[in-house]
Amino acid sequence: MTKRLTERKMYSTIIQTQSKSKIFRNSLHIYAIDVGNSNDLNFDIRALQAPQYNIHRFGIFFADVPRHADVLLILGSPTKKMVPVLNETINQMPEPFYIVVIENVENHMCENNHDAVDIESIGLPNIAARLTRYRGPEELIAVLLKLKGEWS
Amino acid sequence: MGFLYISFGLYLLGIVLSIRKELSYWTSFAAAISSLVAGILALTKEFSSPQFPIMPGLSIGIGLDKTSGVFLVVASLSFIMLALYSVDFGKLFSGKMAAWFNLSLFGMTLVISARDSVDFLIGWEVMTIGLFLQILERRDSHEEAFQFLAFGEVSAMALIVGFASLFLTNGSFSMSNGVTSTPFFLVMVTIGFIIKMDIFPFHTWITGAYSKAPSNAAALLSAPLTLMGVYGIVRVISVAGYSVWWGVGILAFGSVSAFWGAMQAAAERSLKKLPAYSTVENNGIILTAIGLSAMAGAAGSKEMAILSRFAFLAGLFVAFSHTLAKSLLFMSVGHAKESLHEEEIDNVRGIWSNVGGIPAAGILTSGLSFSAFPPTIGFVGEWMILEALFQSYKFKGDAERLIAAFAGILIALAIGLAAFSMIKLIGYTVLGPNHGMKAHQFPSSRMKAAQVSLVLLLIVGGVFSPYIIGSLGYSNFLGGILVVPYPLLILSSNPIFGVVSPTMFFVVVGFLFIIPYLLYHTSERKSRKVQAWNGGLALTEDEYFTVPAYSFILEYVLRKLYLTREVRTGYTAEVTSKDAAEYIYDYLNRFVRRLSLFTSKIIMNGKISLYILYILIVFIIAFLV
Repeated sequence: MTKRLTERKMYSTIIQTQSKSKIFRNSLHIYAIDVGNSNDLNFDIRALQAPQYNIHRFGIFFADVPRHADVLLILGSPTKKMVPVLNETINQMPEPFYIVVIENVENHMCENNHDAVDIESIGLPNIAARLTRYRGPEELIAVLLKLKGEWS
Repeated sequence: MGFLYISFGLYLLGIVLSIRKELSYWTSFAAAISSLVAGILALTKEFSSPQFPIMPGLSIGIGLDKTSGVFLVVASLSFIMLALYSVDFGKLFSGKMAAWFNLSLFGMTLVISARDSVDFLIGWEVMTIGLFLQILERRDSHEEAFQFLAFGEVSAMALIVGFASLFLTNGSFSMSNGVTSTPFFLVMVTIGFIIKMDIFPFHTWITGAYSKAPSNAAALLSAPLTLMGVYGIVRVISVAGYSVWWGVGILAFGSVSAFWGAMQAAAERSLKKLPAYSTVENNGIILTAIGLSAMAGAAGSKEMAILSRFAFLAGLFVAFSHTLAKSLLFMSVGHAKESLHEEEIDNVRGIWSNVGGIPAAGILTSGLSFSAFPPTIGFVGEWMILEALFQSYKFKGDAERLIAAFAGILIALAIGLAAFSMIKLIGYTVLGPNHGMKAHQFPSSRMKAAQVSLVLLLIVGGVFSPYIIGSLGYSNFLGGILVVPYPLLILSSNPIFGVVSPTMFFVVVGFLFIIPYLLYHTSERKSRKVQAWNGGLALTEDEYFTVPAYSFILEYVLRKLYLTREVRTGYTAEVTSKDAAEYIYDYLNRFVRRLSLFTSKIIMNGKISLYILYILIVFIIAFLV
């Protein structure tokens, strides 16, 4: 209990989201798109749905298509070939929606890969959070709970 | 009544003028207008030319009575539009085509205005040969053209035998009333006419011939040519009168043919083969109506006489709507096909945006007419045939009731399947998304004029169908109830059995449709259009819902009828279905080949000793006899 509270204090001070609306208070659907990460984020996303983190208890679910999603979760820094796919995915999102970007700092694939595109240069809309120094699934849960409007 | 002579003269002039294609088609246009006037005049006053005696019992002359007037009007409307269409369309083909076009129109007009069987057969042959030469226009169409000719000549031979038997009984070639007929005559002539009407199982040539022929020739083959078959059947009734066995036979052929044609059209993937099978279906419906009319007419009571007249009217209406709508459909399909150079429905998606609005409207209107969408003229015809078949409970005999009820089931299925196939045609070609096909544009103002006129004719003909019924002399099927004023309601029987009013439908639905439509267009819409979700990638050509996929469910459920098979070639597999009637002709084909092989190897193998033996055998037989 104590740990949870301290963590909450820690994350709620760090994370800045732009969520003002409370329409996602009862449920939030996420669509995750891997645009070029070293696969460790994919394991984290799987863990969120597993009993370890069990985000379903907060009313957060994963959608199969962007048309059903409220939040687009972008994993990694996009490679050149993934940019049109990313744009098309954003085009398919229903309004209102948020984008959460997790940039993997220790991404060796991106370091060696000169294809990687700076996420600012694409000009993505509605970015609610941009996690440049990702600490783990706890941080992502904190962001999502903020977007839901459960944490002020 | 010089209009008929002017028309014949102009057709002949058109054949001569075929060096100048455009002029030749304009001549046939003028000739068709002249024959239209002749037909309209014949509705009020009968006309016949002086008779030229050639030999005892044979005097040649032409003339028009009311029946031929009605058919001439409808055929002429189709001729006018086709001639106008061909002024532009004919430029894509050789000058000979114009001559054969005029020749076939000449033949058809002669068939309608013939007063004796010799004239009739001359017209019949001229028409067949003219169309045969038009199918030959494309280089690779020999097989299809000769298939058409083979069926056409079988039809002509059946007619010749039939008319010869009529000559033997009566001693004259006259076809007017007061001629006694024999069952043999009736059977032979009916076979001759139903072959021309593409009735199952004599329809297998249509898929090849219709798709290979230029579209104006395909329209002639489908619409006015089959109308000639209907005209022939109607003439036969006027000579032979009604009989139950004939009616039952015609009804069986007609209903099976309607179902078979609609079923094959539903599975068809080719742009011109689908309308071809639709022709089989519509002619089946017409034949069913005439068969029901004959069955009811032979019963003799007053109630049945009303049903007989109504069924006959239904047949006439379906024939007219089919002639006009199928001419339009082939025109629009031909316009699209020549612009895009494609054969398959799947490849011509988006006609609306890449070819033009008018061909798209043509396919849309004729397709809606074939799927019995009110208030088009096709709706009126198909409502009538179903209403007539609903009244089969009035028959006294159980066998007749049962047969008519089964025919009703087949016709209802046929109309449903026709709507299915027409939605496929409209949905893919007209309303389908444009996949960046570039249409080859050619001057087509006359083609568009012809198509627009037929679109209007189909709708106006449907809306004012009560007046058409009145002018045909069936005013006892018109009435008025409640808010519908007198001649605007069509009754299916007298006393009332069922009613419909396409005019009122048009007025009411026009208001109910136009106001919401305007509201819809003035209000601002917030919807956003995106393509189908495909993992963020653009859809490729083979990822769309294709035409074979649309009809696959039907092909699978009815796989025993469609003979559906999966054909594997390498790593790809494809589902195909085949028209079972083709097996009959495949078998005949093989049989004839084997027979000729047998004859050439064993009986007539060129050995002199064998021939001497034949001569000896003949001598012995001659001596004995």
